[in-house]
Amino acid sequence: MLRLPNPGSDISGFLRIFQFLYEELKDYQPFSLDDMTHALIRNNLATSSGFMGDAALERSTRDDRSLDPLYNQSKAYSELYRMLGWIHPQENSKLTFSFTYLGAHAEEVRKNPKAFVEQCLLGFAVPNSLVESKGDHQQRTFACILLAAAELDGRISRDEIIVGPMSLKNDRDDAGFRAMLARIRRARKKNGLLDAELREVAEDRGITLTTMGNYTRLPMAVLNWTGWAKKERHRQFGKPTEYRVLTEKGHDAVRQIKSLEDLRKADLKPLDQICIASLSKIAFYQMLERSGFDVTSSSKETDKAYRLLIRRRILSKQSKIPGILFSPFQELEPQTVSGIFPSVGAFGTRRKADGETSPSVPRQDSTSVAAEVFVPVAPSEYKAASIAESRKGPTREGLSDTLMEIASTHNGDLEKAADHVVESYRLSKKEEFYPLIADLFCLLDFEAEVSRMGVNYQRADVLINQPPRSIPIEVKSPTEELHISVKAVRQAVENKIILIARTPEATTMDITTLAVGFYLPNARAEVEALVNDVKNAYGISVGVIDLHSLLLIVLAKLTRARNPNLQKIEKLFGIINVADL
Amino acid sequence: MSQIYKQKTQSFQAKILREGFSPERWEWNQGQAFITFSNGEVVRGSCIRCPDVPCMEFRSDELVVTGFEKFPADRDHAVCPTEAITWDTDKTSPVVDNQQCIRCGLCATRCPVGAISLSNENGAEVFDEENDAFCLVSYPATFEVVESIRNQFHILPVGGSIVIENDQFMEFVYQSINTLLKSTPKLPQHLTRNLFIAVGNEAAMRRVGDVNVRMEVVFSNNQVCGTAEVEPGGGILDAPRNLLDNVAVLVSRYGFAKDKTSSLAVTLSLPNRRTDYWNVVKDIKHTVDLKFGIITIGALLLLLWNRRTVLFTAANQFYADADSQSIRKPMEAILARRIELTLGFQGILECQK
Repeated sequence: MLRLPNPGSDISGFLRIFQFLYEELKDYQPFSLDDMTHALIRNNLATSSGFMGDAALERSTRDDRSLDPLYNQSKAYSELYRMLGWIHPQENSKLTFSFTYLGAHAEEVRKNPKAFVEQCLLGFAVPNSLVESKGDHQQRTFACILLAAAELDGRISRDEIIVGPMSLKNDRDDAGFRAMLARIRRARKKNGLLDAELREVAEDRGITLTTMGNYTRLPMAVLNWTGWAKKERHRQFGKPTEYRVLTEKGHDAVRQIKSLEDLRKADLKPLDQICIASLSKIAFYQMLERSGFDVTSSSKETDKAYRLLIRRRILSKQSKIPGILFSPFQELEPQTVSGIFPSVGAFGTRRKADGETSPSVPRQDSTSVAAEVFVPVAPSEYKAASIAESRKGPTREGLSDTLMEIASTHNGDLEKAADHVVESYRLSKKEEFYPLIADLFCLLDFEAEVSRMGVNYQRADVLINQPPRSIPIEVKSPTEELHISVKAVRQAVENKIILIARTPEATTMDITTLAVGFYLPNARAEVEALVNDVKNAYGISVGVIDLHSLLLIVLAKLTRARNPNLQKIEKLFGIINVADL
Repeated sequence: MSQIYKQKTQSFQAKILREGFSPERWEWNQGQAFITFSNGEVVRGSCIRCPDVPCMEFRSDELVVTGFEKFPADRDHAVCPTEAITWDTDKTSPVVDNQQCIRCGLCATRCPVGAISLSNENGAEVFDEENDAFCLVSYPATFEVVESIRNQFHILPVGGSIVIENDQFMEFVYQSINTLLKSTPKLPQHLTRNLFIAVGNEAAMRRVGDVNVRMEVVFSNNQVCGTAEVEPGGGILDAPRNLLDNVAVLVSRYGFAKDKTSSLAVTLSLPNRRTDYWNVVKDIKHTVDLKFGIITIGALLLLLWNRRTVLFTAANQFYADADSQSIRKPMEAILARRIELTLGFQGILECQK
């Protein structure tokens, strides 16, 4: 199966972003991914970790670029724009770019963008010199999808796109194309065949079904956005299946594709540079014309190119120049194209990050301060213990005994014992997890209970019920969310407000509200930032505790009689640091 | 410098006011705008082919939100949240697709000469013919020609309501919105943004796919800056906690004063009486002294159709909680009349159940 870029599905958004980038960077070429990032930040087109502007840049930037979300976002955009032929990499650096003559026209299409983007999508073919494509596919992908849909009763589903057009080795091999259609038609008649084909494609490529679905995200968005197809549900083997059904506009696109001479990079191999240049010019101006551009002033150039190709017997003489489907900017080497078409913008000047002086952006360490004290736990190599099984209906004493037994099994190594228990609860649902959390707090001598349904003030999942120092606890089982997120923090804030409002004697503002979950937050900075924001705005402290930390505290108490400082837990603010307690 | 080609644009014959026709007043009646002229004639508006198509597109400055300059706004300039109104180069005026039109009336309110009518059966329709007041001339409809006509209209007193609401019309609008929600996921936020702007606030919506900023819609006016959570379906219970998050961020990170923020939940229908939403909003007011308002798309449309300017405030004229689960009273106060929708209808002004 062919891999396509997956930058998202908002095609209008991608075009707008390109237009901003062009405006910002056209006079400062070549530009890097960082230049793109800075331009996006300057135009409020990028955010990171809940922050906008320079704060976003500061939070995103890190030494390991593969972990830098803004850098990765720019990389995803650059792949899409290369695919569309709007930017080209430099000869000496794949991640430094310049705008193409085609890209300069993308900047012009503000009033009527669809026609232009459609032509660029139809212009995409593999193999090409701009975007790496795994496998040895030879196809004009979006055209192939449309042509296949037209042959399949005017409709095609996502899974059919995967096993059909996007897995087709050569779309110009008529027999292969027909065989592909026949396979899909057979799959439409026999239940299970399509799933079997999907599995085969997945195995063949060594990728998961989810990844295959991700590769179709762009084509599905394209079919919708262009208006080439609309979503419809059809019953297939007794269950509703979503298809993309070609609209009148989609059928028009199919007719247009069929009316044009499909030219590929490979076809140009035997030709000399002058012929390649002539064909490229004709194809390019025709592409612009189909996109609604007024290319009247190019007619002399295209006529001259046509006459040359007639003389060289590449094309035959006809009353008008035949229609060609070929996008030179999307198939030929950049060096070849730059010899045929003009360059755009200005080169040689680098734009600074803020347009003027540029303070260095502080680099964020890939580990945070809290991580030095508390190391996030990797899933244990131990098999799931019996604790989960034994927990179904056990007493608190049962839990206490089990924990001590596990600690003993690990020779008193509390970290390993905690790992063991965490792993055993990895698949637990709320019915199991919430009572576990309540019981763990009870083992720390808190009066914790799982909230009862229908009790007005007990919105929290677990409540440490000890007026006036009651603590609401928002619990997230691993099946709800594996890593504690901002969602849990928000709910913890709401729980606190409800408790104070409805049972004012239960608690006071200075007592914490807790968010307890399985693993520590993935988006740590975002959670920490929100916790700080809530404190600043409302004076409410939110404490964040993961299962491993809670177990460490409980195990330390059970096995070493090390009682934690309960007042510190009652006033907990931010992500827990076990050492502090 | 290399030649960059331009997309073809049609140059249309201009349409101007005939001699002796000086507009004096503009009145909406049954979905059509009628212009009273100085010579006593009362005539429909006719499309003057504005090059900047205000019925279809906001200007860039209309999408700026004071105080939120760094917000990663979706710069979609489209007035119509369903792309129902388009202008192909082979047509002399914009055309509205009846199937896509949800009858919101945004395009009609933005036409500078009242050339767009609104009806249940046909949706929005652009009137493009010559009539007693408007005639075609041989020269093209340039910005200067069009502006000279628009300048005469924008100072006119305007009377009447674009739509006199009734259950049937509103039912159709809601059905259309619900049908198009599946194919246009951005519709609720887009419609909210555009309606907020139409009733006099600056507003912006978050860019699709930006998961880094949690605020969906931001708005401001000369009194407050605020955020809105748009929940067309069953997610309204999330709105209060999301708004709490938004206010905390505004106050803590961006220095807004808490008492100068406004927060709104925007929904299609008010939540049912028994949902805890109403109690939570009351708890928030009690505990952190913030009044979170709630307004429905239907209510915003009523404001639009009656051409009301409503600046959202921190005191929140649309505050409703467990003690009063209705926004009919503030709405009727703004419209200065009774609203002709059945009690509880579609949950637009009070709970359905």
